[in-house]
Amino acid sequence: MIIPYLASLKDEAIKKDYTIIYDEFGNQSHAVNRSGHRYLLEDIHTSCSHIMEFATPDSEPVYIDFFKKCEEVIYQCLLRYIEKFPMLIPCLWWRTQGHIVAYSPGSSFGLHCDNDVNYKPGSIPDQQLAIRNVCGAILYFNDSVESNPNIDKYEYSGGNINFPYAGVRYAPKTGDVIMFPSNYLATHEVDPCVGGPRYGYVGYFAQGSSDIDRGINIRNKNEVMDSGQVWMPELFEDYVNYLNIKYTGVEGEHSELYRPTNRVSTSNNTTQEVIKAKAVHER
Amino acid sequence: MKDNNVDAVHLGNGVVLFPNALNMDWDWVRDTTSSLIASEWADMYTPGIDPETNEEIYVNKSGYFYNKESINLMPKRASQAHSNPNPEIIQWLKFMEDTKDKYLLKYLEIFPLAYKCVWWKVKGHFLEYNKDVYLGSHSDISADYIYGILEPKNQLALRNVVTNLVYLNDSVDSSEELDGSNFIGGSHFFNYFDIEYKPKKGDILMFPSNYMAAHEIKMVLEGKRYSYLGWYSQGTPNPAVHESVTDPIKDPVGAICDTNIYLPTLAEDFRNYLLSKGYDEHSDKFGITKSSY
Repeated sequence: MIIPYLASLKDEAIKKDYTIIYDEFGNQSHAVNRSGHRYLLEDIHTSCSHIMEFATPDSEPVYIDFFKKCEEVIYQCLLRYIEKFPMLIPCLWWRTQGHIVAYSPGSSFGLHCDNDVNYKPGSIPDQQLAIRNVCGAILYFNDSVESNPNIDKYEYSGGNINFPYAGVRYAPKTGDVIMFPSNYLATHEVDPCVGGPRYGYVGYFAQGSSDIDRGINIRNKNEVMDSGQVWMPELFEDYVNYLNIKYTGVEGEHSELYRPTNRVSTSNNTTQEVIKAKAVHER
Repeated sequence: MKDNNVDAVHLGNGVVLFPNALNMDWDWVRDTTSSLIASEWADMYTPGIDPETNEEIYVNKSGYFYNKESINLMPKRASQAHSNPNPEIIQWLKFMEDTKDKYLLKYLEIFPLAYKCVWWKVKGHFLEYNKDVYLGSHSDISADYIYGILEPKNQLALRNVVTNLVYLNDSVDSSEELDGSNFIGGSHFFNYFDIEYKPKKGDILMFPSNYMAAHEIKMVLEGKRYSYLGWYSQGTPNPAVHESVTDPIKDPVGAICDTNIYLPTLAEDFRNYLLSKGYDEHSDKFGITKSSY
């Protein structure tokens, strides 16, 4: 159901993905994608495309529900991921809801990490949302198979995601979720795809206050399914509940898992400010 | 003061040791560090009342609450050293900063993708761990946030990409080896990597600032442990949370005493470093420094 739906959105998405930039003589110079990364014109056709409008008010409810479910599944995976790396939880304030990444036949993605915004001295990017990413999740919608003759209707070969610094290679399988850090330690690339397209749903977990000028605008979660930034008010509670169910009555034996949730200090520069903030919150 | 120009030792997972990276007059370094820390200690904490428990507490400069017992169990810090007017201290700090920046290039040679996430640095500050002092597990990119209640005013840590440490004295194994300059215990343990590093003076350690490299400092059992801690970081400062970073080209004087400093020559320095190491200009490592695409 979902693959034909995504296929129907893909071509339109490619058009919206890039803005062509012209030089002073009016010639096409290069293209800039939505997150502000610059591309050579010839590279556009071998790069992945990003589908952002997949659950708009005009979309059929069945698709909107599907992507809401994707968000929920990734959130449940996050709780399990935190259990492996409990010191992650103090770094999780909000999430960037997912979008679809589509790799057409022949396209690939070179080495990059997920909190890099293509900075160089003297050229500071406007959009700096990615800098806030702490970890990311990808939910895969179709399978990578060993070789071309095995390619069935919705499959592809190639398209592995490789993490050279971590020494990890992964071949996507439908319904799998992978999670990894957004920093350089988890630098990764995607091998060229044969057949396909290859579809994944990508979301990020991040921290820091809103900074509208830099493209960071965090809101409360509502019914709108877009790729925006939403707070995660219940994360601590959900994680503790998850642990309580998994380790019924044995909290003492797993104190290292709970430790980052037992805050011993609070910070807001001065005691007075904390008192004020709490009074406002109680009202 | 001498940069020994040593090779990197990758301990795994982005944790890189430069053993015996630099030489200094260690007795002078310890004495000076100790007096810098003593001079800042007096105004390190502000007394107050915990709004939740009404107990007497102490608030540190970044807004964290401590009770009376725990302030003596925390490492003491000196973070104002860069505005110290003493020329000898200015020269010494410049040497340590310049040397660290050179070792950063060796770090980037191993992890070229980290290069794109280093815009500026938070210059080092000094830490003193006394007997019985330790620091629990934490990562270097978290701030104390509670949804709906506290959005911390100081979020600079969230910008950190690569943590760097210069060790100023030795950890030893037995009390027979104690000579007033060294200490027992105080190793640096990475919780998720199972890497335990035992400090040695002149060593530089660099590692990712994120949650994967969460770490703790084991208790110092005897003596005093000294180190110098800084970060390489990224992002345009957010005025809403009072962030500021000085550009040393626009403000060379401010760059001497300010703590957060842009690294405008990093691209050129990294490029020259790679050339000096004999890398082909067409190699992947160069690709990262070269173009805007």
